[in-house]
Amino acid sequence: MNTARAIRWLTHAALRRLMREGLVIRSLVFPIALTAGTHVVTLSLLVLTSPGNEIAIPKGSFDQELLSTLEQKGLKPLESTNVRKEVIDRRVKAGLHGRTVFSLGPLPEATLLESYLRRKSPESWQVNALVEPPRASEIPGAGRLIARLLSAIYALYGVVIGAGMIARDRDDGTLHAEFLLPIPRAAIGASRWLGASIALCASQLPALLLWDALIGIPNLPQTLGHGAAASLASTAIGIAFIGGAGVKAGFSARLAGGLTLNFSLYVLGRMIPGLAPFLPVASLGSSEAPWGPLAAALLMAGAAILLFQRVNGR
Amino acid sequence: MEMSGRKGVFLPFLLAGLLIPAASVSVDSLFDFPRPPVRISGEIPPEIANLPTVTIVETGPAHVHFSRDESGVLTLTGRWIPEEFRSVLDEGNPNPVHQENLSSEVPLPERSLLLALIASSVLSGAVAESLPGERSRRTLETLLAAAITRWELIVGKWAAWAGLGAGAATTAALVAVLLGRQAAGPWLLALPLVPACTVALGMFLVRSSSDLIGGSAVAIRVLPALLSVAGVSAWVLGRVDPHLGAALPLGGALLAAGGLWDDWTAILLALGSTGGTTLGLLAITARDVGNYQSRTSFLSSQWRQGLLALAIGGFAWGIPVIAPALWAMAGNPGFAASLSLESAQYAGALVLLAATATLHLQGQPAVGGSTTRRHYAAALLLSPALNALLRLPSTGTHFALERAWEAIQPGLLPSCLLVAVAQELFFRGWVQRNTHGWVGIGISTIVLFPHQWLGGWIFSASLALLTARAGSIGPAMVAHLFAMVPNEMPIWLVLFMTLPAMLLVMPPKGQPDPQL
Repeated sequence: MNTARAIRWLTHAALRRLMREGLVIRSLVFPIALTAGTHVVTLSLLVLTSPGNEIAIPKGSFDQELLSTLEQKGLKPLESTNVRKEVIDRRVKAGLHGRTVFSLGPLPEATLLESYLRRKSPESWQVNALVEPPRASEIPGAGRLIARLLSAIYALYGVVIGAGMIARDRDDGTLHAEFLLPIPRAAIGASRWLGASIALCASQLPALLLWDALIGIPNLPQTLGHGAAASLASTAIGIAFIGGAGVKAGFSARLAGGLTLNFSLYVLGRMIPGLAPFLPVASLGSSEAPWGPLAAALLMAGAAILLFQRVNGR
Repeated sequence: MEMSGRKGVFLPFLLAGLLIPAASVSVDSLFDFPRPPVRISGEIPPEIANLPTVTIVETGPAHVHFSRDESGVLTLTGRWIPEEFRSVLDEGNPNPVHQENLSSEVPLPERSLLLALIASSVLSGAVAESLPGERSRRTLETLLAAAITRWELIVGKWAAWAGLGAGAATTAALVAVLLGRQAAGPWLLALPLVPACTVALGMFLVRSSSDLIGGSAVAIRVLPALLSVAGVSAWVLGRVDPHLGAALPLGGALLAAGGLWDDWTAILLALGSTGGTTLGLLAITARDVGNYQSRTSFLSSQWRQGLLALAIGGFAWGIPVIAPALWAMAGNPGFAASLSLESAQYAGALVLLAATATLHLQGQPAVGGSTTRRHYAAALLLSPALNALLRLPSTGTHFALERAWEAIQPGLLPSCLLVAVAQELFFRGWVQRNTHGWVGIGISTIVLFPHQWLGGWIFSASLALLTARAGSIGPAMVAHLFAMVPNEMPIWLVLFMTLPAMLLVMPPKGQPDPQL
């Protein structure tokens, strides 16, 4: 049988078995469903509980300058007998009484009111309020952090799925049946690595793009590349570490070893940023081009497949 | 018996290990994080530059920029001005402008909420094991055959775990009161009810699980989520009226245990609603515990598939395309506008593709069948009409609707073409094959066309009909792809091309008409 064709069919079969495991599907969906769901629920609560675009002012203290200041920034005045209470009850974001500005935290709306009050006292220092809230590109930290953590979780999955596929197939006899095929055993290992890597990358890619759509991820192409490198490498680590073990014998210790190496790579990357251009997993969060980690991941995969062949006889 | 073995020793120790620090540690010292320095730039007065909380930046973004006009008046530019700047610059001013931050006045639960949550969460594993453990060890039949009623059996098991949780939470609360971390109040009455109700809820959830893994999977996944949702919902309702929040079962008791309300009516409402729910859950569990008849789902398989399709389609399109509009609704339209719509299109399309591929690999095919050239010809003739439907204006001006409209606009970018392929594979491929055709049309309209339901319905129905008549999704995919080609064809020509398309999809004389 043509080896390349055999790898293709075995990869398809491995992927099909993987996608029929409810636990695997739930695990792959879980990080993105949980994080994106939590984000959307949090934003919805913020929308429900945040006050509108009104600013409380004392009854009868209305003047044209204040009105035009507010209107320029899309805000409306709300006349009230108790400005402080309006703010505490979150009916408005900020309010004004005499020379005091009440606000729900350090908000630009409060700074705008302060600028109005200070304009009325020319001898004082002045304030120029920037009311426009920040844009996605101005606060890249959140997107970078969530992309790094999501990729790190998928990398951990890579070890578990890589090791689990081999161990499960060994226990249920699938691996032994495939060993009877007239193809190199490395092809069987390669099909497992490919199957697990496709499943991981196919779930990680939309997850990262979705977060880019929700909060913006800086250096998206590089982030995607480093995430893919981490998935490819961690699957290889899982295949390399499981060796000749099955689910019922020796699985936990080997899995723990693989997870420890994977996590160590991540920690190394955080401690020694100079490693990022070369090592997959360590490179998560880096803004460098991902070619080095991708090449290293492919080398690790090759080594894992050779080790698989060595452990399994031919 | 219920608490015999290692878990009977381990769990109380675990509870004590978590609850005692939670009750006694000073929160102020825990959350006293160093504040990041304020970045300042420009013509900075020396008294501000000498402040320990500032960092002077020459380039890059600054929180506050200092400048002076021709007359020498100092102007501070920024989104907010730190209080210490005001103190320094207004020194000696008898009537300064000042800001009062009232955000801390928003009522939030106290430390006892954490005690209630810890006491409830730690028990979820043990509760998950309670009934399924008996069932997998085959001891449940023995217990049911003994001279005790089902009610006694369930209440006995509940009392063991609820007693442990309630006792541990109350002891921890007393420690907190004695150390002066929280003042005693009516919350002490609601606190034991939270673990009690959580245990009843856990037993209710696992009442039909036949083994430990199934029981643990249900309880450990569902219980924390239910606790969080109940708590947050009660808080939101409580902002409208405390009595409304307190009346929410479990959530009301959780917030009452957190000391959010001092009003006795609210406390009694929380106790009543949560206590009543606990009794109800125990009664249902007792009724069902020995019932081995497998319960059939109240939804038919086709409806379940329809709901799954709605969930997948809603997630794939709603989260990346529509959800960023929440930023605008929360007061930051600039942030929402700066988010990439192309990433949203890619994300939505890839989620749909991944879901279709997974369902296909699970044996629920999305593609297959063969078709004839005349259906492809019909697809090509139909595509200008579909193009016109995609370009119909939005029925609303809301940011979310405008974004939904933009996301499906014709274009030759790879993201637009991927969107067309993914939508056809999922909606006309998997959904139409695995649910009723009209369900597919409805879901496709709701999910993809919230801005233009009539146009969306005609678009979805045309492609669904084409797929049904052709016997494969090939022609529908071709029609959608060609509809993505921007064109300015006059309307009379579009209509003229649609007529032969309709004739081409008619079944030949004597052949049955394939239904949706």
